[in-house]
Amino acid sequence: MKRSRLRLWTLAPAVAILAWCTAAPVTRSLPLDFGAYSVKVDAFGVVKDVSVDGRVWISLVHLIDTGNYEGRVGNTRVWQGEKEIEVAGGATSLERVDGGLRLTRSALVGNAQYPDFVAYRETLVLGTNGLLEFEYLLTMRQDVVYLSFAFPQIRVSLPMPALLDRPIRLVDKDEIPSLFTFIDDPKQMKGTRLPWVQAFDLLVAPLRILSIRSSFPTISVSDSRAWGGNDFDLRSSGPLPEWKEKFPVVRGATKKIDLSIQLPLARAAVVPALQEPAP
Amino acid sequence: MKPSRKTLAALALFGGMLMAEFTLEPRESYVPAKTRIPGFEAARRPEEGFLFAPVPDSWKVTPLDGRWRVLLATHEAAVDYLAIDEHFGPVKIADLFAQGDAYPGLISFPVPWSLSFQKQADGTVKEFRGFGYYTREFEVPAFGKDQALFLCFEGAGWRTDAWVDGQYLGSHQGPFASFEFDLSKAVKPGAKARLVVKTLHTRYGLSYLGDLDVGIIAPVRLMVRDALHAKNVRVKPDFANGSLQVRFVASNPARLPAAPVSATVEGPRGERLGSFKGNLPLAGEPIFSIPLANPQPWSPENPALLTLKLYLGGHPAAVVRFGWRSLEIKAGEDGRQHFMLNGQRLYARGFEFDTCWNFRKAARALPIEEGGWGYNRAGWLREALLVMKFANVNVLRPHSMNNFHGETFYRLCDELGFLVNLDWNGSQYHFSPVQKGQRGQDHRIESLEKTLPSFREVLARLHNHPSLGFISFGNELYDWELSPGRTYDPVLTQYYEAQKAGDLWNRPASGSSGRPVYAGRAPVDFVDHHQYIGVYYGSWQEVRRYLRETRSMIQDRFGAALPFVNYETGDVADFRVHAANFLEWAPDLRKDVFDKALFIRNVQDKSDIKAWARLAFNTGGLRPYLCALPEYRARKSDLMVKRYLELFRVNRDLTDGVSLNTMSFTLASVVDPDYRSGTGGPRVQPWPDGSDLVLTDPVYRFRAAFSPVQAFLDLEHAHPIAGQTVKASLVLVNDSEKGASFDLSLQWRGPDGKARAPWVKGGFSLAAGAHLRQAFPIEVPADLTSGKQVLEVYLSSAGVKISENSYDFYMLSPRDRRTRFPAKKVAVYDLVASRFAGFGMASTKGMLEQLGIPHDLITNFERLAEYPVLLIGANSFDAGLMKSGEALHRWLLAGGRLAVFEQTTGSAVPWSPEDRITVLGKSSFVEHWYPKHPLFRGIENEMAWESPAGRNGALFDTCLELNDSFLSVAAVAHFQDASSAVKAVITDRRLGKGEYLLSMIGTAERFGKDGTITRYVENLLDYLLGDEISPYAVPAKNTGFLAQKVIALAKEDAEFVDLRAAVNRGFADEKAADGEGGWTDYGRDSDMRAIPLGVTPLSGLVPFTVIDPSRNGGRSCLVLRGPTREAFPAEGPKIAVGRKFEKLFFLHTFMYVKASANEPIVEYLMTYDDGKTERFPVKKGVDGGDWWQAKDLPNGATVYRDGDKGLYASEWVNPNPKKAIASIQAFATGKAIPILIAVTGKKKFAQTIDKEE
Repeated sequence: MKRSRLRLWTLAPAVAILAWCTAAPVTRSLPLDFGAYSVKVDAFGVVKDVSVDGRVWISLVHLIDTGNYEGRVGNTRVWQGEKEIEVAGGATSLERVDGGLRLTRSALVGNAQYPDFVAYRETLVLGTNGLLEFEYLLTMRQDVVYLSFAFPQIRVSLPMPALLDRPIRLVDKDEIPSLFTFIDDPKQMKGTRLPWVQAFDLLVAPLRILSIRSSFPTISVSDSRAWGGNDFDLRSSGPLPEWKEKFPVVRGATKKIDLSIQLPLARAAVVPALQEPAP
Repeated sequence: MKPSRKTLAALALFGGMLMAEFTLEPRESYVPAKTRIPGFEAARRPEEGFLFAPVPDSWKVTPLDGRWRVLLATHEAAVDYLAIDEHFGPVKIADLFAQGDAYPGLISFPVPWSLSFQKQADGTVKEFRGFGYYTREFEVPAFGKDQALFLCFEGAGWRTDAWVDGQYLGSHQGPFASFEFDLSKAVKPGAKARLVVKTLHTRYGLSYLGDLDVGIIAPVRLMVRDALHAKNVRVKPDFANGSLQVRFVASNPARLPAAPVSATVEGPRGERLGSFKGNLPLAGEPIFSIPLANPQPWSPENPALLTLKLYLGGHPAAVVRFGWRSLEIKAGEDGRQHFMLNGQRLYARGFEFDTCWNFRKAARALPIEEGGWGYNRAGWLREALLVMKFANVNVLRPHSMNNFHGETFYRLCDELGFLVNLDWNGSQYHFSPVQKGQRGQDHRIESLEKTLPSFREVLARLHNHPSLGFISFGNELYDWELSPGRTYDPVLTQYYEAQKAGDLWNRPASGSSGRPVYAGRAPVDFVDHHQYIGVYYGSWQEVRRYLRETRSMIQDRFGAALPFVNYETGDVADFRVHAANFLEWAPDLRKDVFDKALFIRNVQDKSDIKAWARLAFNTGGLRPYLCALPEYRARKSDLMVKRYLELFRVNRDLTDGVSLNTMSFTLASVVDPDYRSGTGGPRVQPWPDGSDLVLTDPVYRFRAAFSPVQAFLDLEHAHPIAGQTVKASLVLVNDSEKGASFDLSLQWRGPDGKARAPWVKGGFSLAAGAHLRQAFPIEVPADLTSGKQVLEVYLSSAGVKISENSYDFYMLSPRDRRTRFPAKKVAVYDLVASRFAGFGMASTKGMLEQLGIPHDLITNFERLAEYPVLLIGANSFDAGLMKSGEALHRWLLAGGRLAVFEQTTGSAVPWSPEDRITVLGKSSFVEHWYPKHPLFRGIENEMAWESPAGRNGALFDTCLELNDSFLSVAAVAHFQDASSAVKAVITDRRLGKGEYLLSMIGTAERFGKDGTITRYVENLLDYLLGDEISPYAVPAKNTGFLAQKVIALAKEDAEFVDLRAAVNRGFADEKAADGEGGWTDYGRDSDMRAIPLGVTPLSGLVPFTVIDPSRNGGRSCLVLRGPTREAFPAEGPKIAVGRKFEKLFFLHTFMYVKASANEPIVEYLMTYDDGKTERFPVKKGVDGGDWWQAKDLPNGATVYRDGDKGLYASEWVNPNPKKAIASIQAFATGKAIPILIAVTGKKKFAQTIDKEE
């Protein structure tokens, strides 16, 4: 019963706000209920609370940058959704496409040092097959010399309680699979070097697998319990420079990051109806 | 022997037909080059020494070599050679001239010779740094008014100052280039004159700069020439127009503003190719061109040299020897940029040619006439280069970290046909007080700046040598070694611009060899990466990935597909030498006495010398130290030389050249066969008598990998089960200058020496510079026997062999597979088969099914006693297993036999405190120290344990702590990390009546595909199911069970006890012992201010509520009395609880612990609501301990660390869970300062794990 009420609650605003037309602007956090799964997208294109059958499997997908570059001043971390400068025509919008919805957004995002640090164009297709396909096209707006993690990354956060006691397979960049089952023990990851992976699979139930793939075989994986958090983080970046080496990135340099998430659906999803926003 | 039907079927695709049998050429090690290399004897020049630039026949040359008088004065301090004048030094030059040979302290000394090493009276050799004051008299040769007399040095320094008859002639920097002084006005023809030459060399920084030869290290000559002559002649072949551009500087243009200029160019046989006549103004740099008629291009394959003769005013003015060649970078049809030599793609088949280490210091301390060091003495350098030719090398990269090669080297390379990558190392010739590896080596930038003029001079001297092919401005100029914010970019840009301005040939420049492609913005023409990946303990699969990724990074970094070479990679050596080295370093470890503890001590020794031993472990493997197997050395050089070079060459779509970090002495040694990184010692035996150049095994591997026309097999793996198909690609290359047509032949050769299944495909044709790659599955004949089988590959034309190659396979014959196993009841704990079934991964259970071994899949250990054998499958360490350590321990003591297969995560071994699975580097090599153990039956040859199929060539992903239970070991981490460099991979231990094997070798995915692994698994199961326990199983030291308790609590089961009213101190303390502030009043460095606040598990398993002191009147923890802190209360207040709990968890820590083991350091008193009580004495070493460098204890998990400071979580199991606990009270024991931070209770009867799915 609880689940049914939740679904009705999430569906209602979606029906009220979205337009059944070419592209509807997203002006605030918006729940989208596909029946078999639901997500929230906000006005900045950030995706939150990806749920299947009422359980949140992915809490956050967004663009971040650690700001670990030479000559940094102040808080140099970059987060999609903070300190953004919207480019003309780049506002977050949703439109119906074959087999799902497409979200687009273009903006500049900055930090305390550089108000326009990086420009990004995000395209997200939310499919009725449970496939979420992200594409971020990044253009650097500053000359910086990175000390690690050249270019911003796409971060996918999974709440640890959703993972505990469920089999996980990581396929590292050498195509070597590793199997993990997270137990309620942060020390489990101590002394274990998590691999750079190109694939993350979570066995939710027999034949129901949550899969995450990146265009680069370099997803950094971290278990935040090691430092007191409670998330499992996947960060997709470009090819990494060598350890301890600097990586200059020049203004105008571009990088494309593709990320796909296949949700463990038990049934087919349906595209939520898009309607004109209420006056 | 007939080929199998399968083979013939496969080969039908290639038009197979039977062929005449070829055989591989002999690969004898340690044989004199003259007996092994065809034509070597005829090409030797035992009378040869320094080679001089040609001069006009009419110029008169008088050598001044021989015995001079020298005064040596030590000077250790760093000197800026540019900031001193000629007077700097302890000797007054005027006194030297005044007293001549009678000056006190002068000794007889040969010229040329190096001052670097001085033989002492006791026979030892001392490195010398300081001044050399050389003097001698000479008779001034006759020279006329239109002639000039020059004093010519082929090389001296570092700083050289010269005087004649008291007149100062000038100074020169750097020992690498020839230089001269004009004596014409200082001496009279026919008179006696005295020379004084002062050299100064002080060594800075890098210890190996001690190998830099200094002093007057090359010949000194007097030269009478025409007063009007040409200097700095630079020629430039203009391929497009077929003409030679000539530039020169006239010796004295002011005297004659213009003059008739003529020139001729002659071919290799003296034939005239072109000429020029004209009248040119002589000021500046006159330029003219000579059209040439069909000049023969110079190349390593055909090193044809041309000669320019230049005349000014009708008199001979210069002679220049040069090559007609072009070396450019151009985009090929594949869109990538390549080196193009004379219009054809060049693949650099490189060698790191560093001759100075050829000669031991002891030898270098001997005068030349006593058989000591001398550059190219008795033609040694020529002989070494002849070996390079035999090894099919076409590019040499002299690593300039020590000696720089002078002009003699380039003259030999011109003649014999090598391109040279000049690796300038000016960064280390000035001001280097800081050792390599430390940050802040900014002086190296300054050093580069100061040596820029020397670089320009060297470039000018070498300008016309066709052998000078590539330029690097410095080895490994890493910005991270500089102070933050500093970069080599500006100075490297200066060098790049200087090279482009001075080099009419526009040689490709790589900036800094080894400077990662990702760093820096200085311009480069190509990338010389020199990474060692995949060599120390990696696999060939890893090298493939590295090549792909580096190519991608070059594109990202430069926005262009620049040529990519790796001129320093890998590290191979004469493996025979390793064994001698190790026995010298660890003389107590003899090959016939094996002491595990001694072995472990040696490999974990932190001394430098043992680090070198570990480096050799990584490169050469461990067993050479304990054996002397020619087969082993041959195989290692096959893997570490041939395959590595092949990987680059077959991936020519990604790369443009390769060179190993292999020294020339590795291939061919003259006088120093016992090279050992600077240590002395006895000669390695066996070694031929005499001083002949001797070849080692790697020569033949270079020869095969670098054969200009060659067939390679790019194999998936080389450990098949006979009858299977191995995926492979055939790569045919033609790097010769002519098109090639050939037949391809393959055949197997087994231990009996007979060739099997020979077949051939004819009609291949490749244009010069072309290559071909095609899929080439190899069906292995089913009748091949187990063990080593060599697949031989030949290219031939009209039945004559053009080239040969070979690949060692380690085979398992189906006939040798095990089909019957002892019958025992087997339990299998296998998460892949039980919990991960949805992923379809290979499992240990799957192996048992394939072998038909009955077994039960278990998911807990409750009925373990029913089974004599337990297998813990691959990837099966989980919470259930970790919590069952005690049960497993009991079962083993009673006689259980257990094998643990490979795991991917590091973990404690729950039944054994002695063992641990750990995550370090992966390795493609594993070596077995007890080949007689039943596990290795039939696969005793370690060469079968290398880079098998799958898993990127890693034989294991996790390894085991190195202790006395090891059967097999591997190098898994960097050799300088003494504690981690070598780990165990397979261990065998007895525990009570039982036994357990820990085996991290990857098996599940390879079983049935890889012959070695398949046989190993079958051996292991046969052994474990049998009754015998191997004598190699080492008894456990501790048969007691001390496993650590898992202290865990799910958040939904947690209830927090409110301590806010009971706490008395905050977390922060500003000043120690002032009676104010918080924690234990030990100041800000010893408080707990950084602890996360609120509900947090910290880094442990149990959630706690850590009080925010700012919301609780500054109080957040309860601190009680203890040593040094008597003022704190002896007991805490009663903490109200009022609830039922199954367990309580205490977050606490202790300072100044003075208790003995098991002695209580705090006691908690639990009072129930019926007034009854229970005590929890927190025992030192069991439940808690000192906060400093806290360690996990049996009931004390270290859940938080702030530097060396730590907190413990301890569990108390409530014996009366049905009764509510009214209160908790803490009592100090006086044995420590107890600090209680939080208490969490476990709800009674709560469900702990979400079982929804």
